[in-house]
Order: sequence, then C-alpha cells, then structure tokens
Amino acid sequence: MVLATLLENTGAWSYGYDLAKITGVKSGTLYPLLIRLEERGLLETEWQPPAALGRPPRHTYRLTPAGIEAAKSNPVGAAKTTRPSLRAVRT
Amino acid sequence: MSLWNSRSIADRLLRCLVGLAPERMRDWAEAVRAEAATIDDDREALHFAAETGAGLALTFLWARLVDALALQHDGAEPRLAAAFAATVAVSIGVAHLYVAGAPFSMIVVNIASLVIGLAMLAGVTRWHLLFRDIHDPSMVIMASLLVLTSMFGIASHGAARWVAVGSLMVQPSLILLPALLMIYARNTTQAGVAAIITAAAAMALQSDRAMAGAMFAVMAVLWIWHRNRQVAVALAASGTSFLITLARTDSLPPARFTEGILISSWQSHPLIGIAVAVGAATLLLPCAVSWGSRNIALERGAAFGAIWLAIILAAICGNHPAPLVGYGGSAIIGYLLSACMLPPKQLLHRKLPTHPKPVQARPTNLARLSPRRTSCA
Repeated sequence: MVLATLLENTGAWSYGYDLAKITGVKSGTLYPLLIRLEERGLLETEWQPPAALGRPPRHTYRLTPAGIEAAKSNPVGAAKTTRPSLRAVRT
Repeated sequence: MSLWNSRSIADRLLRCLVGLAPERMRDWAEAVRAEAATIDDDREALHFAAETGAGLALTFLWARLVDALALQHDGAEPRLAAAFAATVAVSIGVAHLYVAGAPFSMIVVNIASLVIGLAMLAGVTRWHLLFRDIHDPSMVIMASLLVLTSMFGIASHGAARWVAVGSLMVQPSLILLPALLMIYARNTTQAGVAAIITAAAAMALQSDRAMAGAMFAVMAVLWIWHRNRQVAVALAASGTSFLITLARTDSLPPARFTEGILISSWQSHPLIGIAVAVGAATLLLPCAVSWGSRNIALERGAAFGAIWLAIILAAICGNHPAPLVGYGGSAIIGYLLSACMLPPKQLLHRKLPTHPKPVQARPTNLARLSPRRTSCA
C-alpha cells in the first residue's frame, strides 16, 4: 500500500505524516516500513529546507528507480491506493 | 508552557526516541520529531508521537541489538564471536566435567585445545593471504585425509573415525570437515565438488551420521544461494552419504563425558542441563552475528550455523560427541578452525545511505513552532 502510494507520487517528495494519513497505515508501522525500504535501496530520503523561518526542516521520501520497479511489479496494490488526496503531498 | 501538556509530553517522548535510536537511524528519529512539530493540534501531535514512538522504539532496540552482536561499528567480526562462543562453551563444559568427576586429563585436553584453537584464530588474518590461493588443493588434501582415516584409522564397532596421536584419540572429521565445508562455502569450484564427493564417501565409509548430516545441511543452505550444477552435485553426494549412514547400523556405545552430555547433564541437575544447553547454543552465535549482513557474509554465517547445528542435533539424537561442552579436543579445534573461514569484518559493513544535513538547526522546543504546513513548495 505504501509502496503503491509512493509510486503514484513518483518523482515528488512525500512526508511521513501525510503518507500515514493517505494510506491509513499507522505511523508506528509506517516508519519502520520506510526504514526497511530505504535499507533495501527502494527509497531515498532527503531533508528539505523549511519554507519559512521558525519551521523545522522535514524529512521527505520518494522511490528510487529500483523502488519504482518493485512497486510496478505489483500493479494491483498500486491501483487500490489511487486516491484524490494524494495530490496534497506533491511538491 | 505547562510541563505536562500534550505538546511537551510529545516532545519529551520524541527526545527519548532520538536518544534510543542507533547512530545510523538517528535521522529517522529526528524526522518523526520534525514531523510532529508540523502538527497543529497538540493532542494529535501527542497521538502521533506515541504511536510512532512505540513502533520505532522496537525497531531501534532491535537495531541496537544487532549492532551489539555484530559489533559492526566497532570493527569486530564473527570470528570474535566464535572465539567468545568457544570460550563460553568450553568453560561451561570444563565446569561440567569437573562437577561430574571427569579425569583431570580431560579438563586439561579441553583447555589446551581451546588455547590452540584461539591461537589459530588469532593468526588467521596473517595466514589468510598466504593460503588464499590454495583453497582448491586444501579441500582436496582434507578430503583425502578423511578417506585415509576411514581406510586406515582406528575402528570401533564398525566405525573407523579416529587416529591416534600419542596417547590421544583424534577424530579428523571433526577437525577437518567443518573447515572443508566452510572453504567450499566460499569456493564452489570443480575441485571443491570433487573434494565434497570424496569427503561424502569418507563419511559413508566411516559411518558418521553427525558429520554426514552436517555436510548435507551445509549443501542445503548453499543451494539457497547457488542453484548451479556444482552445488547440486555436492548436495546429491552429501545427501546420499547421509542416507547411507542412516541405513547402516550404529552400534557404537556412548563414550562417557563425550557423548550424551546434552541429555545426561539434565539428569545431574536441571541447572547443569540448562548451562550445558546454553553453552551448546552459544556455538551458533557467529551465525547470529552474520545475520542481517550482506549476502556473502550471511551465506558463510549460515553455512557455519548449519554445520554446528547439525552436529549439536546429532549429539542430542544419538551417540555423537557434544561439541565443546563435552570432552574432546577435536571438536574444539574443528570449531575454531572452521571459524577462521568466517567472513572478515569488511563484509559485514553495510553501505549506509547518507542524507544531506538539514539546512537549519532543528527546534528544541516543539511548542514554539508555528502552525503546520502539509506540503512544501
């Protein structure tokens, strides 16, 4: 589900909190999952600078080419996660 | 700000999480903290912090355990784990021998074997370069020695497994076969296959179920990674050898203080039984240390684990030596010799992804943050 959501957002960076809300996956499950994806080279991460002063930098995520391949190999899962609200996290 | 409002509790929780995170995962803990700071609603922020903290705390604890076992960041390695495991197991074994009233010479032999084995392991880094290019001849020589033992070795009740060295009875298969299997695990060459077939024939001739079972277990493990002709042939040869040993009658009576230890120790006292069982289980520590590392290190660690697990199981199920926790220098030297072929520390190091550093210092007080933002431009 998370992989499929990230696939839908290919090229753009996503936030953890928003991913949890969109996918409905609990954040306590989501973050360990993101760590595993990163360890397997399927996910890349980046600290993005704050948009305004006083705001914290945010950790963002997107699929690597290998991650995109892995997500595409499960098109059924990808189709299930198509949601309009996904646009909210696109950058 | 109140000390105990939802926001401050969330902040404290996440500070704890950052402290709990191992260095290589520190960014993830900071990421959750930054993410919580973007949440407007204090209760929602606390809920997010608690839920994420619970999930990540387990991940961080597990990572710390793996790091502690693998000692990945301190430059240690599975060989060190093997040295530690051997020392623990032999110490427990010696204590058991002493309590059980074994002759003092048995205790001396076990301790002397441990010292010899540890000295070999300590020197392995220097030897490695010297022997790197002679793996194939090494395997062939070891296999030949096993065949010679089955033909000219000392026999007892139809089993020809021993060679006399002075007043000691040495079991070459316990010394040489684990090392041969570990060398094969890193060099599945044609010569290696020939050596495995020869060794499999020797185990069938010696009628040694434990070692034939260990061979088969290793080949089955290797088959997971290498589904090629060489491993298939070696798997078939070792499987056949194991079946032959199972089919042959094993009338060898148990040798006191050497075989049946894993069962008889429980009869002495449950605590002794537990100690001996823990000692035997400790032998698998190098396998656990290799767990989670790169494929090549994992493969060798798994092969090492398969060898010693099979030997331990054989010692539980039949009249076979209980490695290291029972009397017998062959198993002690064999264990540490095979540990010489465990992966060096370089193979355990993962290449960790690096993250660009944040452009601004992270806030120290989440309560000061302004309203949340859901996306970034």
